[in-house]
Amino acid sequence: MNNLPPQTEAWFRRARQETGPVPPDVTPGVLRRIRDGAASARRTGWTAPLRWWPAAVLAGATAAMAVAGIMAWAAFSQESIYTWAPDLIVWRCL
Amino acid sequence: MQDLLAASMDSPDVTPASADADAGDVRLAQRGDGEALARLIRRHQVAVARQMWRFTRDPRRHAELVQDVFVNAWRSLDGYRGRGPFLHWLRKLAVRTGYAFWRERDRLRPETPWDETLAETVAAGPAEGDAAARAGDVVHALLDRLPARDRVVLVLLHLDGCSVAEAAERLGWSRVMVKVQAWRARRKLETILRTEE
Repeated sequence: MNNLPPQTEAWFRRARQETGPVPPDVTPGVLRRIRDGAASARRTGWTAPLRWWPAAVLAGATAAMAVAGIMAWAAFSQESIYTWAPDLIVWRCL
Repeated sequence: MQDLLAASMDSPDVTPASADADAGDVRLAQRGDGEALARLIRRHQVAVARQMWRFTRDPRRHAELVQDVFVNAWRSLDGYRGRGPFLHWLRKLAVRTGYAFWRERDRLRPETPWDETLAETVAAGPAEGDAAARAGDVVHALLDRLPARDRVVLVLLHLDGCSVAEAAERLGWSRVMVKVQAWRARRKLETILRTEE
């Protein structure tokens, strides 16, 4: 079935000739929008928010889980934060 | 792909002079020249407006969509490599902008109620004196019953007169996908008309 329904063919054929209205010059509007919003986005390279938000959510969730894990370990180990925090810092940094 | 590029260079809307002017202005615009961008917009806004009229009949929304196309073009300008005419790259962006607009609208709107008079109008066919604009309105109302995916492929193939290869290029789909989607869309259209008659 490569053809349109027969009753619509004539409508499509005639509609194909339609040119549509010519809108007023859009240049000022486009340049204003670019200047107002997109310009800053392009400068910083954050043109597509959808590209970075999954990474941001993942990083946030990982950080939250790490903090929760450390707090849980501290709570269950019955040790004072003043005991294990210096050890952790020494272990990570040295 | 080579066939498509060769065919695109032969199309009547792209002359060697306009292609040269575009190439120069695109290079300048990529370096941030606002005047060059303005020249590109002025040179192509009528063609883009004509394309976007397929996507909406609301004059205000139409003007916004035309603006959207050029804003998107500016954002993606660094990705334009000059392998084909600038106007064809712009048309591809225009189709994708219009398609995104339809998909968003489909997501938000309730189902369009069927207009009885539209069924009668379609069945009667266009009268001798019916202008292209009226035919455009009827076809637009008819296609409004279909999901965005079906509409866009029918618009490209049956209103813009694109070949399957051109439609595939503009949509970023494979040729097989265009053929399959068009077949489904035509079948849906026939089912709608048969049901409503």
